[in-house]
Amino acid sequence: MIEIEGNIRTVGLACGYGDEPILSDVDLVLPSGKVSCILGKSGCGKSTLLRTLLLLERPLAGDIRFGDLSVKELDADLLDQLRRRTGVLFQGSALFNSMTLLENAAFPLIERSGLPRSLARELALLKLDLVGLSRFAHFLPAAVSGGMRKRCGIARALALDPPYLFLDEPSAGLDPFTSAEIDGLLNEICDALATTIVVVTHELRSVERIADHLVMLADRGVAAQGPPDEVRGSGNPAVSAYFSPQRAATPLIDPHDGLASFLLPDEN
Amino acid sequence: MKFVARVNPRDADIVVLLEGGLEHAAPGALGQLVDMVPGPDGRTVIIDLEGVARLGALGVAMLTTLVGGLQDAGHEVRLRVKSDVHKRVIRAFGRDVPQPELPGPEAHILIERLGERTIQMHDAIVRFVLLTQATLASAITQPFRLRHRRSGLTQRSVVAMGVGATPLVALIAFLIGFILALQSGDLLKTYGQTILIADLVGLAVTKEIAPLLTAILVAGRSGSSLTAEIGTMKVSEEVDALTVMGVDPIDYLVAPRLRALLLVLPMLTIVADVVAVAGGITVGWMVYDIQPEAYIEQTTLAVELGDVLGGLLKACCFSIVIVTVAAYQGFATAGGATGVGKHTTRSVVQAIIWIIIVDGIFTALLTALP
Repeated sequence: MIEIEGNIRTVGLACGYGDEPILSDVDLVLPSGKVSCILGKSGCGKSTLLRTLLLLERPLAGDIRFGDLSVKELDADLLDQLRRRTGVLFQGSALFNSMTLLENAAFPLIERSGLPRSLARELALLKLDLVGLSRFAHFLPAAVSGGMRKRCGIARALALDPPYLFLDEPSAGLDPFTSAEIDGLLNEICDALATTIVVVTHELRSVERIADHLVMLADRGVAAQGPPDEVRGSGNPAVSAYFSPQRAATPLIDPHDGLASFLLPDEN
Repeated sequence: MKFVARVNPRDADIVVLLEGGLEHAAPGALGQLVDMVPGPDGRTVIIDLEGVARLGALGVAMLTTLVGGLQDAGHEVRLRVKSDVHKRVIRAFGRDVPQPELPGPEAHILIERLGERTIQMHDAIVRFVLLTQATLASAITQPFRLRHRRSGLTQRSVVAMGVGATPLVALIAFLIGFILALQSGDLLKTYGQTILIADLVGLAVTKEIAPLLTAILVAGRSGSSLTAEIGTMKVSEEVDALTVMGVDPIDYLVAPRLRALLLVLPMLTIVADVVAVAGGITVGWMVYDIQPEAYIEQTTLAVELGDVLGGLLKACCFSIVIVTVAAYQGFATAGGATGVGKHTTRSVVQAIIWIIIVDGIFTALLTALP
């Protein structure tokens, strides 16, 4: 019996769609019981990496290890066990629209735990309460705000108390208060349950609040990884560009006399 | 707001004073303006933007055109901009925007494209076969796996696919029986054998028309809705959510539908059989004076149990075709709302084509049998 817990490691991982890798030679260590943030510009492959870690996409090369378990030796049964130990919040929450928030949060329990329905619903209600949604348990996803759907998505991801929790942009499109609440919640979950949390995000403020470990993606691979201070001080150009971006201005107009030579497409 | 340009040709520099909204300049006005400027005679043309009220991206584009036109005519051009707002706008929109690289010409070699298509089709067939296999296995084994009791969805699907479709199937079947009887009656009357309407309607309906028609109606009604549902779930990552929760999407979404339809489609076919015969009876009675009792007796003589059962067996095969095609198209959906629409259409069209192909094979086999 292989224990599925501990660090997530990738060794020489290449991921992408079709034959063309979007990321290659990815060697990561996402430490157990900590919050790791995966950063990078839009389109740099964050979501692709996440989908590969979730085994929704087949790795083009290399290996992913969850604790002692290598995905190369996965059979149907081990995959099923791994799925049971993984909670995921998708970018668009991916709640089931025909079910109430409570039914959504209870879904993994009913499908996977074999508990009686009434008990599963009670447990799900506890999780909804944890994310502050118990008053809205009987609302349909369409009837609540985007932030509430995200929180319900987290409640559903937490339903089976998974040792691994993956979140794709949990604070994208949320106001600063809700975003801070979600971050607080993630810290709490990480501390209380020793959950290994992997967050893909753009929000630097959120990163400052939650990250114990940073992974910076750029140029088809990992630009830097490690504790936040180490990464920020690494002097890697991709990292500095990300943390203090500056827009290049084109000097076109003479500030003294207001005369400008006009840049035409064929001049440059 | 109007656009006015004044050219003062007598100064040391030629000053073009622009006033009003540059974006309101009439088409061709800029060309006329270029012609108005005298020279080139070594003097610099200064375009003065002081009188321009607003300068948006469009205004800057007009300005670029004007400057370009003047430069092409051999002038040296400078801009005079005092307003900080204008400077910012020019800075923002006056940049040299890199042109996106167009994808190079695709391989037009016929053989290469043929090969590509063949590989695609091969992949599609493999995926379809695997899906069908998984669906059938799941639909059959599911009731025996206690952990996955999903009778709720099966029951709801029976109601939605069966009860909901009954009035429509009945109406169409009645009309088809009615029309068949009228058409055949016209011919049979000349031989004085109008009673044979019962044979013709009964056989045609039970062996062929009722299963085929019901299947096509259900493909349009429930197949499309299944594709749209799975497609929407695919697009909004709900299918992925099921997968990462360890719930097999085929097991959860498709198998209950197949079980429901395996039950419902034969039942709807029986309804269609009965109602279509009723349509025939109506015509026989009203147009050709055949008593309903005589018509029914004639029908029972003509139609054998095997004919009805053959039709029901067809219906079972059609339900597999409808569900697997709909599920395949649903899972193949990508690309947002447009994708859902496209694959829903494909689902119905392909289901109908495959229903007719399967029907053809079936009929050929049944006819070949002794």
